[in-house]
Amino acid sequence: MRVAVAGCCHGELDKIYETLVLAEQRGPGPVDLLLCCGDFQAVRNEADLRCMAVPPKYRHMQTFYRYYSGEKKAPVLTIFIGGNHEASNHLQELPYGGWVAPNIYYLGLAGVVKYRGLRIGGISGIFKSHDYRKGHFEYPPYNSSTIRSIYHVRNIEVYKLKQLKQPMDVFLSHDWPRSIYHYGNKKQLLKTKSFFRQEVENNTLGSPAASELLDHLKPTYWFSAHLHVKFAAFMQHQANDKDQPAKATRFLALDKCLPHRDFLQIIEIEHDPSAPDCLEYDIEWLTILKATDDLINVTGRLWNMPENNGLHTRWDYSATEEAMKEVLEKLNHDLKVPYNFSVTAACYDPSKPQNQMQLIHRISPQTTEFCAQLGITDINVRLQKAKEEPHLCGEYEEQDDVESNDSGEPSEYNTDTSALSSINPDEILLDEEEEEEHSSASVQSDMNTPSIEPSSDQASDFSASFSDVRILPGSMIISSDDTLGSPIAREGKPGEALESGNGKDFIEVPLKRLSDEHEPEQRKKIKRRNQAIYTAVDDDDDAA
Amino acid sequence: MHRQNFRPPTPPYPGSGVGGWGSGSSFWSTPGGGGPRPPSPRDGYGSPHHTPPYGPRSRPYGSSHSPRHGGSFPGGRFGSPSPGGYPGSYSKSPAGSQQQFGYSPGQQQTHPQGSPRTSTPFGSGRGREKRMSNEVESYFKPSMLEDPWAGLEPVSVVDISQQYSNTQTFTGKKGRYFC
Repeated sequence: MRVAVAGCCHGELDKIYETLVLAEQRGPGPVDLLLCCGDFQAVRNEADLRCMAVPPKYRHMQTFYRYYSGEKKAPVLTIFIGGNHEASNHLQELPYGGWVAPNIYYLGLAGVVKYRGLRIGGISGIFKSHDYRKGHFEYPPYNSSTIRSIYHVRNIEVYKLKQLKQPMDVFLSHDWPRSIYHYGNKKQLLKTKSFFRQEVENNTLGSPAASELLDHLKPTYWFSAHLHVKFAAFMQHQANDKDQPAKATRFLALDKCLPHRDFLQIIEIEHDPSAPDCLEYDIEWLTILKATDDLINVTGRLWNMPENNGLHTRWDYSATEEAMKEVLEKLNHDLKVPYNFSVTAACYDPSKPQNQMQLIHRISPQTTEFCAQLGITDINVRLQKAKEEPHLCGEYEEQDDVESNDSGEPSEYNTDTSALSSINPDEILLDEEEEEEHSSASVQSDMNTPSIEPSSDQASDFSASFSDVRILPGSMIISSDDTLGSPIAREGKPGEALESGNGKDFIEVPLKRLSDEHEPEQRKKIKRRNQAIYTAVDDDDDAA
Repeated sequence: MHRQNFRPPTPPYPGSGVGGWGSGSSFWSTPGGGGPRPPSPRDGYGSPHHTPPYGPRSRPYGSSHSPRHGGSFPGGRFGSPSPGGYPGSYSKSPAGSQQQFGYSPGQQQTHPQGSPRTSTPFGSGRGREKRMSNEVESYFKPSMLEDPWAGLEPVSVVDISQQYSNTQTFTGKKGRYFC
């Protein structure tokens, strides 16, 4: 079947569907499925808009609300994961996935579904080491810290996904798995995005959590977005079994939805013609969800997942045949995802804007139904209970997580560069003031981004040298003033790029583990070096 | 244009498909109509659905499951519909064949069933449609239909990990796993 894949949507649903329709006309035929790799921005109303971590100038209602209300309908089944620009309060209502509109399905914090026999998994959010080992403690109304941490990937989701044993056909992540760039035309990538060079050479660009999942799942296809560039890679995994040939993953990252950009790709993927023509739950995933229900953590305290180290009575939560049969019984042998979308929030009305719309921490009826059927806990219910009875569930670590900072346990991902400042001109900076400090663009290679063409340079690219020595800015001071609208600790993307060619301010230091345990509130402001060369790219300028 | 309608024609689900969790057993031994009823939608905000979300409705594009025009699959494999990711197998699947990806840009293809859309992102009115189609042209690129992995050879993870030793997430202590 024909599957369309989209990069960062940024709420441009109309444009994506229109382009998809045109691609169908120009291509071999209709598309059966659209997969969107995050920054979907399922904004229903003004309150949702406030929960989106973008600077004010990017805070637009866009077009999703028309699909939510039923005024428009997605012309093709759409499945998406969350990124770092989302209506976080809306997605939070659906931690296990659910419909955000008719024909548009959110996979949840992590999820696996099946469509026409194709097994599709995904993980939402982006990786930030300082939040990785926390529970899901955030709830609306968010503050300047939780509006960001809400979309940071958590260890529990990776842990659940790593319990999967059956083959995965397609997997989605918003940010790239770390190291994936070594498996494609890296040279071409760095021509287009030269500011990635340092991180690519240091192997720090991308998510280590996603990389771990890529290594474990070895899906046939992996799709990502986030970095606003089209990049293809072909990775051959190590063979587990001598008898079986090694698996390979075709990776594709796509650009954001703008004119003349590579934000959409149509791909032919084999499917099972006898499989149901509707979206289905995945039985192995449901079984894992049920098994790991006890592992729910709604505090901001750092924790580690169970392992076989003598401290845990159970560390294997993989789905047994017996457990899967039990779950199937619970679902009455019906794995069809119910069509139970309903409008539960006020929908934006352009003729009657509501600037004072209240933010509510909602319980979604879809999640209620799903949890009841499977016999698991709605994270939001647990959160609300904990809010009412904080003495029972521990303090609500919205901001200050002092004791966890002193735990002394490092993040296992000790190559996280999340605290480093970014010079990616494509990045939508959270803080508009920070953006305005930048001079006009000097690096505008993004303006006329060519399609990433594979070439014979691929082989020669791997001889590129790299440094074991981390290069850190001359001064990195993070401010404690971390409120919205004011200069803040850099939110940015994981493994943010450092500008190459301006090494005069760089200080080479041995690989240094960053203090990842500090809450953003306790961080000092990152002082940017070479501010003059920083670009302030207005997305509108990219639309050539 | 034949469009695979996402919704089933009528409940209960006919249950003709076969699922796959490795054992080969069928999920669909009984019609799947026994699921719990969803709660009544809380639609108290008065945002009407202009079209009913689900349920039986006419399918302007005909029935599902008919083979795609121009595309023929070599027969889906139960349980692992993907090529399996083996090197070189990509070319055996329809996805790898030139007839799928070698599509000439700009070639117009009429929809075989040419039914008008009832609900589309496009507005109504020819003038508006023409303006919008001009705009959409700027979003479409022929490369969207081409094979993005054309010309790429698989690169072994063994080769890369030898060069970039810090891909490991473990701290180096055996058996210690931070997750």
